[in-house]
Amino acid sequence: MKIGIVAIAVALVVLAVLPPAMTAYPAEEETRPDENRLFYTGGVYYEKKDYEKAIENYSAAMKLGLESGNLYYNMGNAYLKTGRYGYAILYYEKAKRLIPQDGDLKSNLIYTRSMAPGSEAEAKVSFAAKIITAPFESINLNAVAITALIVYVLTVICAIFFMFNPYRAKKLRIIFVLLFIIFLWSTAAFAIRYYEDEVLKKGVTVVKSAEVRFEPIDDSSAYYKLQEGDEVIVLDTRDGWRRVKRSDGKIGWIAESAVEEI
Amino acid sequence: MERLMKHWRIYILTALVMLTAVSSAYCRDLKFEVSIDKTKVALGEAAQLGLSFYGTQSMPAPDVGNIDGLEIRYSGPSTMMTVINGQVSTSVTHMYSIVPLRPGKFQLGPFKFSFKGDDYVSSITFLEVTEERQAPKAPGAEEQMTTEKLNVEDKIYVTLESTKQIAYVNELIPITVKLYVNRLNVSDIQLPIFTQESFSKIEFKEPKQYRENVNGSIYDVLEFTTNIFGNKPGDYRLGPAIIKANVVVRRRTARGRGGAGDPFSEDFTRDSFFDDFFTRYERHPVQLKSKDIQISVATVPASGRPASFSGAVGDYQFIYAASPVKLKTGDPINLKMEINGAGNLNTVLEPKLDGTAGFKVYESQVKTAEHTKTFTTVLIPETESVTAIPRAEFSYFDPGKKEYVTISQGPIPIQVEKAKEEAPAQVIGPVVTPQEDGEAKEETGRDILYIKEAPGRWRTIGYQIYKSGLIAPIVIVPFLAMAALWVVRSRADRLKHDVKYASRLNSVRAARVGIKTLKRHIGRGDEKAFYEALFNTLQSYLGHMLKLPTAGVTADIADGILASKDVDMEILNTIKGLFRKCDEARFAMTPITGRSLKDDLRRLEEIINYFEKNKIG
Repeated sequence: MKIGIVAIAVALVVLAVLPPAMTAYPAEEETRPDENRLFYTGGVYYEKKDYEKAIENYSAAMKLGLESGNLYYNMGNAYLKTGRYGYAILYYEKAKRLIPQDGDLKSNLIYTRSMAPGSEAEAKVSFAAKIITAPFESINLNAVAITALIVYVLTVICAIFFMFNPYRAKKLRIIFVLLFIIFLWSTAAFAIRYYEDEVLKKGVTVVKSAEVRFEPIDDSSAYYKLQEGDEVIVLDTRDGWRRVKRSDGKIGWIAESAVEEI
Repeated sequence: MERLMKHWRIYILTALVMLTAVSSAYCRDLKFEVSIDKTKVALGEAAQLGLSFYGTQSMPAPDVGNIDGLEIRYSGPSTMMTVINGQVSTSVTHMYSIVPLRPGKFQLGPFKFSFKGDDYVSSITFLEVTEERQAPKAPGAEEQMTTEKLNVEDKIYVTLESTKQIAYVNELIPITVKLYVNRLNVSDIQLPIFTQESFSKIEFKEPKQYRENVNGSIYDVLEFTTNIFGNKPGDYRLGPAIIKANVVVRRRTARGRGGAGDPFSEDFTRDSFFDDFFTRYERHPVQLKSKDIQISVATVPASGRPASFSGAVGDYQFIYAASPVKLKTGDPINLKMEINGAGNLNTVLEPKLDGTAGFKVYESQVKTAEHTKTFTTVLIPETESVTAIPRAEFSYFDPGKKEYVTISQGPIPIQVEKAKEEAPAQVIGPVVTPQEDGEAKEETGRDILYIKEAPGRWRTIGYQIYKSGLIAPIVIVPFLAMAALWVVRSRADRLKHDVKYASRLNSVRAARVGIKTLKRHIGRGDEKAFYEALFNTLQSYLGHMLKLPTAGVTADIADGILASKDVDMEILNTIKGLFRKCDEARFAMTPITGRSLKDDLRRLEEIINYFEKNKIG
């Protein structure tokens, strides 16, 4: 019995240490006045309808090596106001990875897509993958990871507790089963989201129109054209060219500057 | 010429006096002005003289000296801070009460004043003193009255001005109405109203407020501006402009210097230095009227009038833009036509497109700003054969140049591809689609939502929690802890339920403890204690192993049981030998020499190893 109490105490200590450890970002991530000043200055220029200056300030904040969902959102707005739909979609998509639950972002992205000549890449996601990731749609990848970790630790604590309390284990077995299912579910969701966000490198066409060629050579024959806002999968990048795959599976080479990775 | 030469002194003197009269004294950034609330008073009445310094509030009261025929008393200072269009200006006015002692015309100023090494010289003003006293006013009149009735017509009045006396139909005519107030407390000022015909409706904006020196008196001015335009040609009178307001006057009930029944004898001062118990205020509604003005409205010329002219008068620019220009049939094009510039935007109508064959055209949405009118419409190409958005033309009459101007924009080239059969036409933007029952369904506008006002949580670009080095320990440590606890738990369970396992474990533990004790005795060379311990260890080990009471284990018992377990004879002999040696050592009266303690310890270890190796027990 004593060993059981010790085991639970150890597990609780681990759980108590876990959340602070997860939020223990590197020191340079603490909010400093510079990026805030640039953010607010960008907002002032936006209000004055000087969108280029607004973009300049937001980009300067990014150059400090920092990002935030709201920063990307505002950049998307500023680019949209200048009529650059490709860049607007690019930054809205970047924002979506950080603040997927934001209603304003969803609305603006839909609006921009309706304005842009290009189209969103049709993601070929299986039904099972959709079901698994559905409960986690409104949170970002980091939050999915944290959820999976917390459920994992709780499952282990529960297992240890039941190991030393076999009589209670019979009564409360359902808790362990539920935790274990949630753990498996969240881990699977994390794996799928990780594949979509990190392994599949998505890109957005940021120029009005660009030709995709058979080879990464200027005088190579054109295969097809991409319109501003078209989404592609970036397979490779080298020597000023990107190897891209359109949603219909056609693969070709396009100038690096024509497509920006999300 | 001779006459001119003859009176040159008079001309020069007059010019100097006029210059002095209109000029103000400036020193550094300070402005020094003199003003008087009444230029004409009767004997027994008082006037208020003000010496104003603009740009400071710390100027002491200047000594105005004595003027023959006038009694001048310092009343006190009055400071003021004014904020107009965000600019703050400060001033201090030193008030003097002037009581005339005889009739005549008195010159007040120029007043000279030195302060902190700087010299200040004011302008001059005049005060005329008559013997006539103005008739007392009927007290308590509450109905609206004119300024004449209040005898304040020189203190508050309204002017109406226009920079254009001749204009074209629909041409904007700037109108300015000014309310002048001099040392009066005026409240509830209403916007000017007009009696006008054949002009557009007049709507005034927020007035400007400033101060103006008029004939030596300082007036607070409220300036109302707007633009109107004539609807039809002809000569018209515009005005008078009427402003309704309340004039607040102070009345002394017991100690008024102007005598009984004269409530305004020394009223209308802005400051309240004489406020006392005997003073009360009265509010008099007044209706101030300006003079009217003549404005002629002409028709725009018929000659040279372009076909696309629709009545717009002014000076405009025409911006024409479409997006997207590469699309499929059925996709919408947002077409924006913006007219901006100075002029009457009410008369600006949508420019007409030069043929829209091949397009489905929706009704435009019109947005009017201060100097801009924007027409946004949606065109949908119905066929891929259309190659351009047609040209648009906008004409207006420029009253400055007195000629018509036509601006043509477009055509804008577009690329239209044939849409897939199944793709329905997508309609976005300000399009109203009539429903079957005839009622138009409301189509709400679409646009992006506003920027975020706070940056939210910053993080390093590319930082992901799941890439952190903390994750591996967080995953591994709980798992290892669980595994370790499972092992401990299993062992405890086995000890509890498996007697054989428990005995073996205890026997080994006993042997380990005993061997440690034996080594200690060897180190000390204590033979007796060594064999005592050897006996106990052997007894304890065999007792645990054979599940016998420890005290009951002897050489014979052990031999009997172990022989039945097929134990090697050599081991049995060794056990018996050790028991015997122990007995000899324990019970001998004299110490026995020639024994090797280390050899006996080795023999014990061989016995234990044998049993553990062969798992006998």
